[in-house]
Amino acid sequence: MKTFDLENFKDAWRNEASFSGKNLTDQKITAYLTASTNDLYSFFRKGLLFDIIFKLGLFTAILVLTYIYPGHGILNLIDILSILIIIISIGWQIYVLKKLPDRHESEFKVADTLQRYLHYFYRYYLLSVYIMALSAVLFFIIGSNHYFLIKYNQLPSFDSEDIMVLSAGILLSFGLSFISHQTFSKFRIGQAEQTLEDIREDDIDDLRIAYVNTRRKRWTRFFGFAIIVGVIILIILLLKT
Amino acid sequence: MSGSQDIQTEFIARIKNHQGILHKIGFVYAADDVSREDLYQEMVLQLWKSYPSFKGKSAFSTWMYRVALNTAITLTRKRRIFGGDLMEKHSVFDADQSMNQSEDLKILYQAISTLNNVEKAIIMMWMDDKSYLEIAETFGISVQNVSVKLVRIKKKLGEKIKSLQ
Repeated sequence: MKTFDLENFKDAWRNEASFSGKNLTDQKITAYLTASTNDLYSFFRKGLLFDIIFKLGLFTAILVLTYIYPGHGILNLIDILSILIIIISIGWQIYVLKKLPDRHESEFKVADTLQRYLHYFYRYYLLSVYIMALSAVLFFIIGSNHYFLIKYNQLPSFDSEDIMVLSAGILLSFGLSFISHQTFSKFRIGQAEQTLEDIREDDIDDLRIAYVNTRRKRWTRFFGFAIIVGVIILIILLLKT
Repeated sequence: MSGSQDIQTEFIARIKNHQGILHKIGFVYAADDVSREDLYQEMVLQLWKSYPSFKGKSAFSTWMYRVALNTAITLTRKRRIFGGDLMEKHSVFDADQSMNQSEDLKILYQAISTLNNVEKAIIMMWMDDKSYLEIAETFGISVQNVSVKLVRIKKKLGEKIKSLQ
Protein backbone atom coordinates (compact mmCIF):
# COMPACT_ATOMS: atom_id res chain seq x y z
CA MET A 1 0.00 0.00 0.00
CA LYS A 2 1.45 3.41 -0.94
CA THR A 3 2.02 6.12 1.66
CA PHE A 4 -0.24 9.14 1.63
CA ASP A 5 1.60 12.41 2.31
CA LEU A 6 -0.78 15.34 2.72
CA GLU A 7 1.94 17.83 1.77
CA ASN A 8 1.78 16.45 -1.79
CA PHE A 9 -1.86 17.47 -2.08
CA LYS A 10 -1.57 21.12 -1.14
CA ASP A 11 -1.03 22.25 -4.74
CA ALA A 12 -3.85 20.08 -6.02
CA TRP A 13 -6.15 21.52 -3.36
CA ARG A 14 -5.26 25.10 -4.22
CA ASN A 15 -5.71 24.49 -7.95
CA GLU A 16 -8.91 22.48 -7.62
CA ALA A 17 -11.13 23.35 -10.60
CA SER A 18 -14.32 23.33 -8.53
CA PHE A 19 -13.08 26.36 -6.58
CA SER A 20 -12.47 28.64 -9.55
CA GLY A 21 -16.13 28.76 -10.61
CA LYS A 22 -17.64 32.16 -11.35
CA ASN A 23 -21.25 31.26 -10.71
CA LEU A 24 -21.81 33.97 -8.10
CA THR A 25 -23.09 36.82 -10.25
CA ASP A 26 -23.86 40.43 -9.26
CA GLN A 27 -27.57 39.61 -9.19
CA LYS A 28 -27.09 36.56 -7.00
CA ILE A 29 -24.87 38.38 -4.50
CA THR A 30 -27.32 41.32 -4.37
CA ALA A 31 -30.16 38.88 -3.65
CA TYR A 32 -28.16 37.31 -0.81
CA LEU A 33 -27.73 40.73 0.81
CA THR A 34 -31.48 41.10 1.32
CA ALA A 35 -32.11 37.54 2.50
CA SER A 36 -32.85 36.61 6.10
CA THR A 37 -30.12 35.10 8.21
CA ASN A 38 -30.15 31.86 10.16
CA ASP A 39 -27.49 32.67 12.76
CA LEU A 40 -27.80 32.49 16.54
CA TYR A 41 -28.01 36.27 16.90
CA SER A 42 -31.12 36.37 14.70
CA PHE A 43 -32.58 33.30 16.37
CA PHE A 44 -32.47 34.93 19.82
CA ARG A 45 -33.58 38.32 18.49
CA LYS A 46 -36.55 36.99 16.51
CA GLY A 47 -37.73 34.86 19.44
CA LEU A 48 -37.69 37.79 21.85
CA LEU A 49 -39.27 40.25 19.42
CA PHE A 50 -42.05 37.82 18.57
CA ASP A 51 -42.86 37.33 22.26
CA ILE A 52 -42.87 41.08 22.95
CA ILE A 53 -45.27 41.69 20.05
CA PHE A 54 -47.47 38.77 21.14
CA LYS A 55 -47.66 40.11 24.70
CA LEU A 56 -48.52 43.59 23.39
CA GLY A 57 -51.38 41.95 21.49
CA LEU A 58 -52.57 40.31 24.72
CA PHE A 59 -52.28 43.65 26.49
CA THR A 60 -54.53 45.22 23.84
CA ALA A 61 -57.01 42.35 24.20
CA ILE A 62 -57.26 43.00 27.96
CA LEU A 63 -57.84 46.71 27.39
CA VAL A 64 -60.63 45.91 24.91
CA LEU A 65 -62.18 43.48 27.41
CA THR A 66 -62.03 46.02 30.22
CA TYR A 67 -63.54 48.72 27.99
CA ILE A 68 -66.44 46.58 26.77
CA TYR A 69 -67.20 44.89 30.09
CA PRO A 70 -66.29 47.33 32.86
CA GLY A 71 -67.07 46.84 36.52
CA HIS A 72 -66.65 43.08 36.93
CA GLY A 73 -64.82 42.72 40.25
CA ILE A 74 -63.21 39.35 39.69
CA LEU A 75 -62.53 40.14 36.06
CA ASN A 76 -60.77 43.36 37.02
CA LEU A 77 -58.57 41.41 39.41
CA ILE A 78 -57.59 38.92 36.70
CA ASP A 79 -57.00 41.78 34.26
CA ILE A 80 -54.80 43.70 36.69
CA LEU A 81 -52.81 40.55 37.46
CA SER A 82 -52.42 39.78 33.73
CA ILE A 83 -51.39 43.35 32.90
CA LEU A 84 -48.84 43.27 35.70
CA ILE A 85 -47.37 39.98 34.40
CA ILE A 86 -47.30 41.34 30.85
CA ILE A 87 -45.52 44.58 31.83
CA ILE A 88 -42.91 42.76 33.92
CA SER A 89 -42.41 40.13 31.19
CA ILE A 90 -42.01 42.69 28.41
CA GLY A 91 -39.57 44.63 30.60
CA TRP A 92 -37.48 41.48 31.10
CA GLN A 93 -37.59 40.55 27.39
CA ILE A 94 -36.39 44.06 26.43
CA TYR A 95 -33.60 43.76 29.00
CA VAL A 96 -32.58 40.37 27.54
CA LEU A 97 -32.75 41.81 24.03
CA LYS A 98 -30.37 44.59 25.04
CA LYS A 99 -27.96 42.02 26.52
CA LEU A 100 -27.76 40.13 23.20
CA PRO A 101 -24.05 40.09 22.27
CA ASP A 102 -23.14 42.08 19.23
CA ARG A 103 -22.12 39.75 16.41
CA HIS A 104 -18.96 41.74 15.66
CA GLU A 105 -17.63 42.04 19.20
CA SER A 106 -15.68 38.81 19.07
CA GLU A 107 -13.44 39.84 16.16
CA PHE A 108 -14.47 36.58 14.51
CA LYS A 109 -12.77 34.19 16.90
CA VAL A 110 -14.96 31.13 16.67
CA ALA A 111 -14.54 29.96 20.29
CA ASP A 112 -15.21 33.44 21.68
CA THR A 113 -18.29 33.88 19.51
CA LEU A 114 -19.75 30.57 20.65
CA GLN A 115 -18.78 31.10 24.28
CA ARG A 116 -20.49 34.49 24.27
CA TYR A 117 -23.73 33.07 22.85
CA LEU A 118 -23.72 30.10 25.21
CA HIS A 119 -23.22 32.39 28.19
CA TYR A 120 -26.06 34.57 26.92
CA PHE A 121 -28.33 31.56 26.49
CA TYR A 122 -27.85 30.16 30.00
CA ARG A 123 -27.58 33.51 31.78
CA TYR A 124 -30.51 35.33 30.12
CA TYR A 125 -32.35 33.54 27.33
CA LEU A 126 -33.27 30.40 29.24
CA LEU A 127 -35.31 32.49 31.67
CA SER A 128 -36.92 34.18 28.67
CA VAL A 129 -38.11 30.75 27.51
CA TYR A 130 -40.18 30.52 30.73
CA ILE A 131 -41.47 34.05 30.12
CA MET A 132 -42.42 33.05 26.56
CA ALA A 133 -44.36 30.08 27.92
CA LEU A 134 -46.30 32.49 30.16
CA SER A 135 -47.69 34.08 26.97
CA ALA A 136 -49.55 30.84 26.25
CA VAL A 137 -51.05 30.85 29.77
CA LEU A 138 -52.14 34.48 29.40
CA PHE A 139 -53.58 33.70 25.97
CA PHE A 140 -55.59 30.86 27.49
CA ILE A 141 -56.91 32.98 30.39
CA ILE A 142 -57.70 36.08 28.32
CA GLY A 143 -59.22 33.93 25.57
CA SER A 144 -61.43 32.13 28.11
CA ASN A 145 -62.56 35.47 29.58
CA HIS A 146 -63.45 36.74 26.12
CA TYR A 147 -65.41 33.56 25.44
CA PHE A 148 -67.37 33.69 28.70
CA LEU A 149 -68.16 37.38 28.41
CA ILE A 150 -69.29 37.15 24.81
CA LYS A 151 -71.42 34.07 25.52
CA TYR A 152 -72.80 34.86 29.01
CA ASN A 153 -72.10 38.60 29.30
CA GLN A 154 -70.39 37.77 32.62
CA LEU A 155 -68.06 35.22 34.16
CA PRO A 156 -70.17 32.20 35.15
CA SER A 157 -69.82 30.66 38.58
CA PHE A 158 -67.58 27.63 38.27
CA ASP A 159 -68.02 24.32 40.00
CA SER A 160 -65.09 22.15 41.04
CA GLU A 161 -65.05 20.30 37.67
CA ASP A 162 -64.85 23.58 35.73
CA ILE A 163 -62.00 24.69 37.92
CA MET A 164 -60.20 21.42 37.31
CA VAL A 165 -60.60 21.85 33.54
CA LEU A 166 -59.42 25.47 33.64
CA SER A 167 -56.43 24.59 35.83
CA ALA A 168 -55.51 21.74 33.51
CA GLY A 169 -55.79 24.14 30.56
CA ILE A 170 -53.43 26.59 32.25
CA LEU A 171 -50.88 23.93 33.11
CA LEU A 172 -51.11 22.35 29.68
CA SER A 173 -50.73 25.65 27.84
CA PHE A 174 -47.66 26.48 29.92
CA GLY A 175 -46.17 23.01 29.64
CA LEU A 176 -46.66 22.58 25.91
CA SER A 177 -45.43 26.06 25.10
CA PHE A 178 -42.40 25.67 27.36
CA ILE A 179 -41.46 22.26 25.95
CA SER A 180 -41.71 23.45 22.34
CA HIS A 181 -39.62 26.60 23.00
CA GLN A 182 -37.12 24.68 25.11
CA THR A 183 -36.71 21.87 22.58
CA PHE A 184 -36.16 24.27 19.70
CA SER A 185 -33.69 26.38 21.67
CA LYS A 186 -31.82 23.30 22.87
CA PHE A 187 -31.50 22.03 19.31
CA ARG A 188 -29.87 25.28 18.23
CA ILE A 189 -27.70 25.75 21.29
CA GLY A 190 -26.73 22.07 21.34
CA GLN A 191 -25.00 22.49 17.99
CA ALA A 192 -23.06 25.48 19.29
CA GLU A 193 -22.05 23.51 22.39
CA GLN A 194 -20.89 20.60 20.25
CA THR A 195 -18.76 22.89 18.08
CA LEU A 196 -17.21 24.56 21.13
CA GLU A 197 -16.50 21.14 22.57
CA ASP A 198 -14.79 20.14 19.30
CA ILE A 199 -12.63 23.29 19.48
CA ARG A 200 -11.66 22.96 23.12
CA GLU A 201 -11.94 19.20 23.46
CA ASP A 202 -10.27 18.42 26.79
CA ASP A 203 -10.48 22.02 27.96
CA ILE A 204 -14.20 21.92 28.72
CA ASP A 205 -14.59 23.18 32.23
CA ASP A 206 -16.58 20.65 34.24
CA LEU A 207 -17.20 23.22 36.91
CA ARG A 208 -18.86 25.53 34.39
CA ILE A 209 -21.20 22.74 33.27
CA ALA A 210 -22.07 21.92 36.90
CA TYR A 211 -22.76 25.61 37.57
CA VAL A 212 -25.04 25.86 34.54
CA ASN A 213 -26.96 22.72 35.57
CA THR A 214 -27.45 24.00 39.11
CA ARG A 215 -28.75 27.31 37.78
CA ARG A 216 -31.13 25.56 35.42
CA LYS A 217 -32.54 23.37 38.19
CA ARG A 218 -32.95 26.38 40.47
CA TRP A 219 -34.97 28.30 37.85
CA THR A 220 -37.10 25.25 37.02
CA ARG A 221 -38.00 24.84 40.71
CA PHE A 222 -38.73 28.56 41.04
CA PHE A 223 -41.06 28.64 38.05
CA GLY A 224 -42.76 25.40 39.01
CA PHE A 225 -43.50 26.94 42.40
CA ALA A 226 -44.67 30.22 40.81
CA ILE A 227 -47.06 28.39 38.50
CA ILE A 228 -48.56 26.34 41.35
CA VAL A 229 -49.05 29.53 43.42
CA GLY A 230 -50.57 31.24 40.36
CA VAL A 231 -53.03 28.39 39.81
CA ILE A 232 -54.00 28.38 43.51
CA ILE A 233 -54.65 32.15 43.41
CA LEU A 234 -56.72 31.70 40.27
CA ILE A 235 -58.76 28.91 41.85
CA ILE A 236 -59.40 31.07 44.95
CA LEU A 237 -60.45 33.98 42.72
CA LEU A 238 -62.75 31.78 40.66
CA LEU A 239 -64.29 30.19 43.78
CA LYS A 240 -65.20 33.64 45.06
CA THR A 241 -67.39 34.29 42.04
CA MET B 1 -24.85 57.04 -7.26
CA SER B 2 -25.12 57.41 -3.46
CA GLY B 3 -22.35 56.53 -0.99
CA SER B 4 -24.06 53.39 0.27
CA GLN B 5 -24.61 52.18 -3.31
CA ASP B 6 -20.91 52.78 -4.00
CA ILE B 7 -19.98 50.66 -1.00
CA GLN B 8 -22.35 47.89 -2.09
CA THR B 9 -20.94 47.90 -5.62
CA GLU B 10 -17.40 47.77 -4.24
CA PHE B 11 -18.35 44.91 -1.89
CA ILE B 12 -19.99 42.86 -4.65
CA ALA B 13 -16.95 43.30 -6.90
CA ARG B 14 -14.63 42.11 -4.12
CA ILE B 15 -16.79 39.09 -3.35
CA LYS B 16 -16.89 38.15 -7.03
CA ASN B 17 -13.10 38.43 -7.27
CA HIS B 18 -12.56 36.16 -4.28
CA GLN B 19 -15.54 33.84 -4.68
CA GLY B 20 -13.18 30.85 -4.80
CA ILE B 21 -12.98 31.10 -1.00
CA LEU B 22 -16.75 30.67 -0.74
CA HIS B 23 -16.67 27.75 -3.17
CA LYS B 24 -13.99 26.01 -1.08
CA ILE B 25 -15.95 26.40 2.13
CA GLY B 26 -19.20 25.42 0.41
CA PHE B 27 -17.47 22.36 -1.03
CA VAL B 28 -16.27 21.21 2.38
CA TYR B 29 -19.30 22.05 4.52
CA ALA B 30 -22.41 21.59 2.43
CA ALA B 31 -23.82 18.17 1.65
CA ASP B 32 -25.87 19.13 -1.40
CA ASP B 33 -26.72 22.01 -3.72
CA VAL B 34 -29.57 23.26 -1.53
CA SER B 35 -27.52 23.51 1.64
CA ARG B 36 -24.59 24.92 -0.37
CA GLU B 37 -26.86 27.69 -1.65
CA ASP B 38 -28.00 28.35 1.93
CA LEU B 39 -24.40 28.51 3.07
CA TYR B 40 -23.37 30.92 0.28
CA GLN B 41 -26.27 33.16 1.24
CA GLU B 42 -25.36 33.11 4.93
CA MET B 43 -21.66 33.75 4.28
CA VAL B 44 -22.30 36.65 1.90
CA LEU B 45 -24.83 38.16 4.30
CA GLN B 46 -22.47 37.94 7.28
CA LEU B 47 -19.62 39.36 5.18
CA TRP B 48 -21.83 42.28 4.20
CA LYS B 49 -22.87 42.91 7.80
CA SER B 50 -19.25 42.73 8.93
CA TYR B 51 -17.92 44.79 6.03
CA PRO B 52 -17.88 48.08 8.00
CA SER B 53 -15.42 46.43 10.41
CA PHE B 54 -12.95 45.70 7.58
CA LYS B 55 -10.29 48.37 8.02
CA GLY B 56 -7.79 47.02 5.51
CA LYS B 57 -5.26 45.94 8.17
CA SER B 58 -5.05 42.57 6.47
CA ALA B 59 -5.67 41.54 2.86
CA PHE B 60 -9.36 41.40 1.90
CA SER B 61 -9.03 37.69 1.06
CA THR B 62 -7.65 36.91 4.56
CA TRP B 63 -10.46 38.83 6.23
CA MET B 64 -13.05 37.23 3.95
CA TYR B 65 -11.69 33.74 4.60
CA ARG B 66 -11.92 34.27 8.34
CA VAL B 67 -15.46 35.71 8.42
CA ALA B 68 -16.81 33.13 5.95
CA LEU B 69 -15.22 30.23 7.81
CA ASN B 70 -16.49 31.56 11.13
CA THR B 71 -19.98 31.70 9.64
CA ALA B 72 -19.80 28.16 8.27
CA ILE B 73 -18.60 26.68 11.56
CA THR B 74 -20.98 28.57 13.84
CA LEU B 75 -24.01 28.29 11.58
CA THR B 76 -26.59 26.18 13.32
CA ARG B 77 -28.31 23.84 11.00
CA LYS B 78 -31.97 24.01 10.11
CA ARG B 79 -33.97 21.01 11.20
CA ARG B 80 -36.20 19.36 8.68
CA ILE B 81 -39.52 18.18 10.04
CA PHE B 82 -38.66 14.76 8.69
CA GLY B 83 -35.27 13.51 7.64
CA GLY B 84 -32.79 15.21 9.97
CA ASP B 85 -30.70 18.35 9.59
CA LEU B 86 -30.43 20.33 6.40
CA MET B 87 -26.66 20.44 6.73
CA GLU B 88 -25.48 17.17 8.17
CA LYS B 89 -22.64 17.29 10.64
CA HIS B 90 -20.58 15.04 8.45
CA SER B 91 -21.45 16.25 5.00
CA VAL B 92 -20.39 14.02 2.15
CA PHE B 93 -19.43 16.28 -0.68
CA ASP B 94 -19.33 15.06 -4.22
CA ALA B 95 -15.79 13.92 -4.81
CA ASP B 96 -16.56 13.21 -8.45
CA GLN B 97 -17.63 16.74 -9.31
CA SER B 98 -14.24 17.65 -10.85
CA MET B 99 -13.16 15.57 -13.82
CA ASN B 100 -9.54 16.61 -13.20
CA GLN B 101 -9.28 15.00 -9.82
CA SER B 102 -6.87 12.14 -9.39
CA GLU B 103 -7.97 9.03 -7.57
CA ASP B 104 -5.80 10.01 -4.58
CA LEU B 105 -7.42 13.43 -4.39
CA LYS B 106 -10.88 11.90 -4.44
CA ILE B 107 -9.89 9.65 -1.57
CA LEU B 108 -8.50 12.62 0.32
CA TYR B 109 -11.76 14.56 -0.13
CA GLN B 110 -13.76 11.57 1.03
CA ALA B 111 -11.57 11.31 4.12
CA ILE B 112 -11.94 15.06 4.87
CA SER B 113 -15.70 14.74 4.61
CA THR B 114 -15.69 12.39 7.63
CA LEU B 115 -14.06 14.99 9.91
CA ASN B 116 -16.12 17.21 12.21
CA ASN B 117 -16.71 20.88 11.34
CA VAL B 118 -13.79 22.18 13.37
CA GLU B 119 -11.34 19.62 12.02
CA LYS B 120 -12.44 20.38 8.46
CA ALA B 121 -11.74 24.07 8.97
CA ILE B 122 -8.31 23.45 10.47
CA ILE B 123 -7.16 21.08 7.73
CA MET B 124 -8.61 23.40 5.08
CA MET B 125 -6.62 26.35 6.45
CA TRP B 126 -3.50 24.20 6.65
CA MET B 127 -3.95 23.04 3.03
CA ASP B 128 -4.24 26.72 2.09
CA ASP B 129 -0.87 27.38 3.75
CA LYS B 130 -2.29 29.48 6.58
CA SER B 131 0.14 29.78 9.48
CA TYR B 132 -0.48 28.14 12.86
CA LEU B 133 -0.90 31.62 14.28
CA GLU B 134 -3.61 32.50 11.75
CA ILE B 135 -5.46 29.26 12.50
CA ALA B 136 -5.13 29.87 16.25
CA GLU B 137 -6.46 33.43 15.92
CA THR B 138 -9.40 32.27 13.83
CA PHE B 139 -10.51 29.83 16.51
CA GLY B 140 -9.39 31.76 19.59
CA ILE B 141 -7.12 28.94 20.78
CA SER B 142 -3.36 28.65 21.38
CA VAL B 143 -0.78 27.85 18.70
CA GLN B 144 0.18 24.73 20.71
CA ASN B 145 -3.42 23.59 20.63
CA VAL B 146 -3.47 24.03 16.84
CA SER B 147 -0.32 21.97 16.56
CA VAL B 148 -1.79 19.15 18.68
CA LYS B 149 -5.03 19.21 16.72
CA LEU B 150 -3.24 19.10 13.38
CA VAL B 151 -1.22 16.06 14.40
CA ARG B 152 -4.43 14.35 15.49
CA ILE B 153 -6.33 15.32 12.32
CA LYS B 154 -3.52 14.16 10.03
CA LYS B 155 -3.39 10.84 11.89
CA LYS B 156 -7.14 10.48 11.59
CA LEU B 157 -7.02 11.30 7.88
CA GLY B 158 -4.16 8.84 7.35
CA GLU B 159 -6.17 6.04 8.97
CA LYS B 160 -9.29 6.92 7.00
CA ILE B 161 -7.34 7.09 3.73
CA LYS B 162 -5.81 3.66 4.41
CA SER B 163 -9.26 2.20 4.89
CA LEU B 164 -10.50 3.81 1.67
CA GLN B 165 -7.55 2.74 -0.51
